[in-house]
Amino acid sequence: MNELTIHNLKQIDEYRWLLPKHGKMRTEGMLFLDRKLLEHVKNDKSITQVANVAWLPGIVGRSLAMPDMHQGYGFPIGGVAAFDPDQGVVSPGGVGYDINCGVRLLRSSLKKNDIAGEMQNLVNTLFANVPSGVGSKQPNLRLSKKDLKKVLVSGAQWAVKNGYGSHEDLLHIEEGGCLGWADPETVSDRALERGQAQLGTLGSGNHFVEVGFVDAIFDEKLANGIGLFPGQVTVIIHTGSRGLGHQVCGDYIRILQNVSRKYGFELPDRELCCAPVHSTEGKQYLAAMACAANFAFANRQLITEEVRRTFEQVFGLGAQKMGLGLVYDVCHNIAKFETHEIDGRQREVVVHRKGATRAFPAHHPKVPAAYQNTGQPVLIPGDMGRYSYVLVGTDRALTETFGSTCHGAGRLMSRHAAKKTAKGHNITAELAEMGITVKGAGRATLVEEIPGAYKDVEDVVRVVHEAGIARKVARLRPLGVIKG
Amino acid sequence: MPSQGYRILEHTADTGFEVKGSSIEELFEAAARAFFHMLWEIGTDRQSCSETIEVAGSDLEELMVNFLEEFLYRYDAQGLVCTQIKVILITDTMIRAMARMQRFDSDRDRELLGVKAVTYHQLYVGRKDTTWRAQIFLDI
Repeated sequence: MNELTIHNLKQIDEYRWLLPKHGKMRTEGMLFLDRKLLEHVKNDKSITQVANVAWLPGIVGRSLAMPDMHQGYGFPIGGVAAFDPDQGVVSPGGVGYDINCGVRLLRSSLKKNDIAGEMQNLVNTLFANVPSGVGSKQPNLRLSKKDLKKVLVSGAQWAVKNGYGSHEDLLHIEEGGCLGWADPETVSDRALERGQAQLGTLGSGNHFVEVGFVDAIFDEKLANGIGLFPGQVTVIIHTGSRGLGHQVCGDYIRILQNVSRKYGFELPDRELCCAPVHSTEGKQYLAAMACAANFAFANRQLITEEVRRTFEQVFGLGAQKMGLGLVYDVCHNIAKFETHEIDGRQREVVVHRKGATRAFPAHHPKVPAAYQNTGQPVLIPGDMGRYSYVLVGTDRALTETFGSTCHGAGRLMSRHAAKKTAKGHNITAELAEMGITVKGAGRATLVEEIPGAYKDVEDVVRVVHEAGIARKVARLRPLGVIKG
Repeated sequence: MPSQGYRILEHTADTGFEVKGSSIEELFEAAARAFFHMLWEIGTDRQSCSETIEVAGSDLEELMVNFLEEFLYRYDAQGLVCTQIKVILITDTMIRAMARMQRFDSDRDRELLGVKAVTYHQLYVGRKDTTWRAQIFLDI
């Protein structure tokens, strides 16, 4: 065992670092990192944030951090923690402002060469059909508050019922695209107003739609099991709950600060404000968070239909004929009731994943029938110039991380530094030279999101694979990207 | 401080800013102006109207978050942006300000930064000697 002076971390093996209990921590922390990634995070506040999470009442097991960890608000990004439903708390800081920000992957029966000549057209048409950018609104869909509340109750199920996609899609979404404990009465008017015109919009920042292809297969049997083959055209959609989710988080951070005082919780950070899971306020937050999560599921479902429509427009074939089916849809920012084996017995806990992905293994009851033999697909997007990964969940993730793994690359440069680096460069032209067609709503987003601004996602994926908390299946390379 | 009256504070994944003022009123006005400057580029030669904005909070820090969040909500839900701000009254728990609001016009105005929320992360609002200072981080 190797001692390290950084936060007294104890190295357990090549990819595991134990953060011993100190101060007011109720439990220890565990960081999944190699030395290279540890170098990236040792100077930001993320390790302290792992310790801060361990202060929270009713935490079960360890305060965990995935290899893409970096400084967040409250929890670190890449933070995972579970809480006892009777003794524990729920915290908006463990979910984040973009509730159920997540990723879905579509496969197709098309091969790279089938679409190569149409990339510019495809990207332009996608950009025209999927509203994107900071204040993007849906020109064709402004929901009444009454209808919006139906979306908040049923999520992607509402979308399918209203003609956006098929029942088959619902079978390939985490939780079937709907958290059942949503209650729209816990969502403020302001949140509703922000959501009314934003269903079916991409938003800005790191959100995107990416057309790519399978360029490497690491496990043929698993790839086959989830319907992926070399050269196959794929589409990744990355977005969340838009202004509605941001407002829900902000509203409940305000409410729960008072609640934390009321219960006398000693907190190291205001963003970690929380309420007992069983308290009125805790239940209200969970019900409102579920509404925002359902909005995000519906949002990705509507965008999926726009993607299908775009392919039909550009290639003149039906979406079904092009095999544009859903592989899976995963949440990156969420708190959920899940059953896990803890100290030899099955217990219900509230798992918070903040910039982390559920990674359940084969034969788990929550994994859809199609993936019972492979394990749940895990989708890890990289930056727009490199590649993304498809993995599956493992038994080891279930025993060590409440069935969780990493969610992405994680930033390497601040936005300002990225802008400075990009100065004098024509990002669109440089990416085009690499064979990637990019269209962004604003140059600002494009330069802030340059490939060099992110860690190489391969470094992150290698750690989860080697540590056994997910298994590599395939790598995807981008051909065309629209950015918010 | 640069000419816009604020300083950008940046870390790998964070974007924040720092403002100063010789009074609490000035500080809140400076924070609002900095926020608007970071978010939008707006033409001013258009129809606008004056509105009274009133926001409450349990302390000065919460007041600052709620004050800036008010403009985020106005923009996101109503498509309105603020071009001028004047604080009329401020206590530890409430602020009243006159704001000139106008409709965001995507043909003439530009969105510069997508802000999800104003956070409590390393938030500071306080006074040292005669100078008021605030530090605010945004989730983007």
